[in-house]
Amino acid sequence: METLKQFTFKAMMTVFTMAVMCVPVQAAHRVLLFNNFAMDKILEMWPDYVESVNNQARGMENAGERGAINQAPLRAHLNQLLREQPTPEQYGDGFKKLIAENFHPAGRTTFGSRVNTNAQVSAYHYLLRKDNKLPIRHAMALDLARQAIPEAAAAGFYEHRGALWETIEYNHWLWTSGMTSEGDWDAPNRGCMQGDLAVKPGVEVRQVKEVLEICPDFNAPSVQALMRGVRSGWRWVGVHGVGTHAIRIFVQKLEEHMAARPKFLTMDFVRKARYGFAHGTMIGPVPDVVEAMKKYNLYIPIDAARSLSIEPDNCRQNYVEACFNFLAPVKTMLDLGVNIVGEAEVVMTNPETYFNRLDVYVNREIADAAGHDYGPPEHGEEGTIYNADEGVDRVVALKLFTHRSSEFLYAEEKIGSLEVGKYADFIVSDRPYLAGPDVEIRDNKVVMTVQADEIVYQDPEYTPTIK
Amino acid sequence: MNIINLRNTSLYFILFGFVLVSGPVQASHRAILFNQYAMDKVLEMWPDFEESVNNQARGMEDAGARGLITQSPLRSHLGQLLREQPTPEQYGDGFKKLVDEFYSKAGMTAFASRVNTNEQITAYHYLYRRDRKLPVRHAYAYDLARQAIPSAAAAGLNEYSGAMWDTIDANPWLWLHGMASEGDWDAPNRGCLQDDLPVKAGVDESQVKDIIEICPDFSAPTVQALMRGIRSGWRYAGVHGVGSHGLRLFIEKLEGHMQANPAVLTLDFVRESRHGFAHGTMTGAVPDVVEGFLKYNLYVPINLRRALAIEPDNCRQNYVEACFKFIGPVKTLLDQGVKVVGEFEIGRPDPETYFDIFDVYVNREMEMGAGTEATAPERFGEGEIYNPEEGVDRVVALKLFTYRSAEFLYAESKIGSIEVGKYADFVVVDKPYLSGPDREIRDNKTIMTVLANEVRYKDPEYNPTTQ
Repeated sequence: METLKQFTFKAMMTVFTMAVMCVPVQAAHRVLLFNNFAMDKILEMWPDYVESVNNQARGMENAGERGAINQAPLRAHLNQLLREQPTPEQYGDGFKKLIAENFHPAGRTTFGSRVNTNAQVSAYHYLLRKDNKLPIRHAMALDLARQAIPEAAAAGFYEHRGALWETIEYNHWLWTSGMTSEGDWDAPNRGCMQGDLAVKPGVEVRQVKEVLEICPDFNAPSVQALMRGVRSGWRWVGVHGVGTHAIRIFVQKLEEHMAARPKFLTMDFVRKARYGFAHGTMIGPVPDVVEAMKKYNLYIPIDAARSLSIEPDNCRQNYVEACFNFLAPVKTMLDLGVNIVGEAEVVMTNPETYFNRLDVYVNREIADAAGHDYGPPEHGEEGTIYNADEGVDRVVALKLFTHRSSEFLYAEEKIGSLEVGKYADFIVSDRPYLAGPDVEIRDNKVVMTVQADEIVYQDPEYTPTIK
Repeated sequence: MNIINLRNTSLYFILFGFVLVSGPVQASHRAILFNQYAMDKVLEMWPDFEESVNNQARGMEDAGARGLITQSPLRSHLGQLLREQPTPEQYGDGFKKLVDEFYSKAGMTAFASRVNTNEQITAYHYLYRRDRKLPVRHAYAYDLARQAIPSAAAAGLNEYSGAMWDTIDANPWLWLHGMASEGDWDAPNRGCLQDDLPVKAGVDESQVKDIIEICPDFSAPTVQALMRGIRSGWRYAGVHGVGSHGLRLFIEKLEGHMQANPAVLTLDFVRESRHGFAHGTMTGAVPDVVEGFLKYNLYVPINLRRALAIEPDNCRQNYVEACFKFIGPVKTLLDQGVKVVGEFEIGRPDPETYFDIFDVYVNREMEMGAGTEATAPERFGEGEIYNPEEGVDRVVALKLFTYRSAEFLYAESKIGSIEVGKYADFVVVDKPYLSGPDREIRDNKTIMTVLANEVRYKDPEYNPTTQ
């Protein structure tokens, strides 16, 4: 590694406030499969398990017998049966380890996440009370998807609690940024597109539009919880918002609630609430949806790497050619004035992860063998470039993951850029990120991470000298 | 008024961290009465109103037909039917007015309260997000007593949301310091005493023990909410804890949960939770209960004014002579090491209110014929003195309302005394509170209140000069 000069050192200080939505989100709609031994044990504890699963599975043959659970409440119930609950201290230790080993070496100093269980909420608050800080700044959003909770309690949960969402000004280590939901609105690879995107010839329309595409089910308690939450003043943050029609449905519902409570849900209140979604892997520039995004000041995270990794196959298998226009049209949306947010949801991040992600926003190249790793190709590997004209400048890419992300977390007054009055959370990268060829953005890596005046990661080979 | 010079001024700086537990709590178990017109309207909206009330009223004849609602869920349902919901802004304006016209003038700079409706929580958070502060520092506790909420949702509400209680270190203006309940454990004038205090000769025992005395009903959803909250790591903060047996029941339940969940509810965890109650008008100093207070580090607010205003009649009407020993034995409990907290709950205090209250802790004299609103009489000697040996030193009385109150609010690291590193919230009084005759404590008044470097109240006749 070359020794950095003072000038380049300064130029490379960048604040990362990555919006990392949730721990393994890719598992959201993946089934759980058991071997026979596990299946027998589960049937002992849950005698009508097969019927329960079959009752709730959509478009699957005898899901229960196969142990294929695709509904969140059933998964939660199973978890409750099988898990030993960790103590807040055990949970906190795991959290600290994850941050020390993966988040800080990647340069992450703040993250937004759904919290899926009450044990997580208890543990974060326990840590804050005990240490007066957390190992990382954390905007948490409450999520009912994986909790075992009766329907009547789930449906009214947010409303009953009062709209107690916070900004970073409440506490700069831990704030409740809103309410959220994983997979109850729609989901990557299963985005709610409906009339916005036709199926290709030879594919059965019903199979795609009624089975594959997930659109919100307003009879589901978790969706009712979100609706009653919006009605009562909650902020919507990080709810899956993958396909254009899913966003349109949200806007329609929002407008209904505004009409029903005009004194409370004023345009000003709504715009200041900065409602925001997650993933956005199939958000195309559909005019009425774009107009609404701007009118109501919606925040639209787009996970470009995930979009370009998983949605092309979805397009090829199910939709007409126009489908490719829905794959992370970041530049078009930004030019139209939409609040696009940079998003990555890699759990085990390393010092190169974010630069790989930034590279995708600029070059839009994905390794052909990436699978669920969602990255650009390594040297010597084959890659595919999708809609190169949707690539953005490297500075823009960085800002999507710093200032814009911090706006999404309602934290831009304290983090998101290096300015007087903000916290000096920053990283040092080993090369000049702001210069050099675009195609080498992916070759950068984090060599030091500073958070709240503390060096929380330093590459052992990096020994800065002051000149 | 004396013009006080700077030397005296610094002597009289007093930090008030008063515990005002809830607004008009005295209405807790009071009936709501309608005129015929209102009754007709209620029956239109709620056809089985009479049956509902009769089903839930205890020891009352045909309460429904008389419109006597004694149970909180019914009251909340009625409230939902009749009220127009205020917007957070309207609510916030009302809150500011209350603080400006009463709290600040009385010298209150921090207060704890149960919040009875989700709209209150929504409004406090709205105000905080908008202004980055509240008009007064506020430790709030969740209370389900007045919410219209299904039983299944109520019973699990605390558990489902995770133990998300905070301290003042999370936020200096607004922090959720635990869960609470009004009237669901026991209540002033109806304290749960059971075998600790026999009824007097000639009184029907079952009338007192089964009907007047309220003891927790563990099949009630609100009580289940508290128990499941304790189990999952919540803090008890301001739940009614009036009679000695009500407090003993808490200790027994706490021990049961500690045994069932030993990894989370360690003795250390429990002691650091500082579980605390409200009102304590009939706590007595029963040895096994005192032992429980000390072992588990419980905080026991005693509202002495209220105790001496209402419980003597309760004693005379229902119990043996020993009853009087249960009324606010502040000195005995303090000498045994119990964490007694100063409490009052006057919704509209004025500049003299706190000094009247301190006077009661020192002199234990109450005006006669003033009913439940009684306080220290205008001049010493005009009232009735109860157990004068339980009177405390004026400095102790002050500390019960400042430092000890701050501990109860989990806020002593920032408020409760004037020290380096704490917020300089203080009042100026017009006479030397720390000297002068005990019987003239009641003659003091607040002439200036400073909160967060801002003069929030100044008596128009008070013009401090700097020398």
